[in-house]
Amino acid sequence: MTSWRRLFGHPVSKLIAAACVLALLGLAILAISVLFPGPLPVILGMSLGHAVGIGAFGLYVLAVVVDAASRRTRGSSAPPPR
Amino acid sequence: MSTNLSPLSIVALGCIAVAAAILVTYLVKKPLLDLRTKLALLFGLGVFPTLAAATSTVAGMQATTEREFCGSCHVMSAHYEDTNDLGSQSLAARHSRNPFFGSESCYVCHADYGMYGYALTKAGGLRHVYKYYLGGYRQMELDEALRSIHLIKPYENLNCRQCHTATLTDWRRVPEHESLKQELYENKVSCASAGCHGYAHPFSKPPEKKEKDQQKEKDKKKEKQP
Repeated sequence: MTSWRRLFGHPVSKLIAAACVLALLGLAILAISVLFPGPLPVILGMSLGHAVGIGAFGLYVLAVVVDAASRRTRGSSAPPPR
Repeated sequence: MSTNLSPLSIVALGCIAVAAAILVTYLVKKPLLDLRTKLALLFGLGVFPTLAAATSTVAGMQATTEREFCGSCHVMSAHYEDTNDLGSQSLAARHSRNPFFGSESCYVCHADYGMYGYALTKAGGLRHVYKYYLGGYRQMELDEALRSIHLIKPYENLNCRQCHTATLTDWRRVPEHESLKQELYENKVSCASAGCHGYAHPFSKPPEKKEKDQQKEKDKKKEKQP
């Protein structure tokens, strides 16, 4: 297996599930920073919260790209993955 | 938990709730990854989290200007309690009773002004957080904190002049203002000093410093008088 496949060869559904879990974590950090606006929660919300959210969106974009690429190789008649 | 949420905080929480609902629905139902699901996920992972991040950042920045926020570190508790004391006549307490900016008096009086003032003030705030959590302030007793924590640079009279303009006739009518005008502009004499308008936080000054400063101010005024 090439390194490209190792990196991007995950099933689309797994990538999206990981993106959702990461995004929920980022959203929880943001919610804490809004509800408890102390020095640490605010700083964590603006740094870690944003970074986790960007990471989650990146995974989603990757999943969409992988999905589009795999559809092209399989043909458009293949059903969408779960 | 913050008891009075600002409208922006409510918008941020609303966006967080909608995004979380979309994501949890996807994780529970695991629908087919068709165009509709992808669009829903774009909103759950992109649009609403971006809105939440933007509004929570502005709300967070707003929260950092509140007096309560500054008082949340124990080394500032004496300053915070003094500003809350309705009987206190310190400069900080009197300014904190101002209905226009009293709830943000720490920020209004200590912020850097000018083009990069906001960014510089926030960078200074980060240094405070670093000093508190990693620089030993957190373990410090309040008495020790009052003795050893000081402003990093002398307080700028320019900050006072943001509101108390030195161009009005009323300001010029005060003989001390006129005679010490140059020193005040050059920050050699502080508005918030013992011989003038008094210290902003008098309880944080040791008695020997108060006496020394008072004597210095008297000498300067005598020098200036014809």
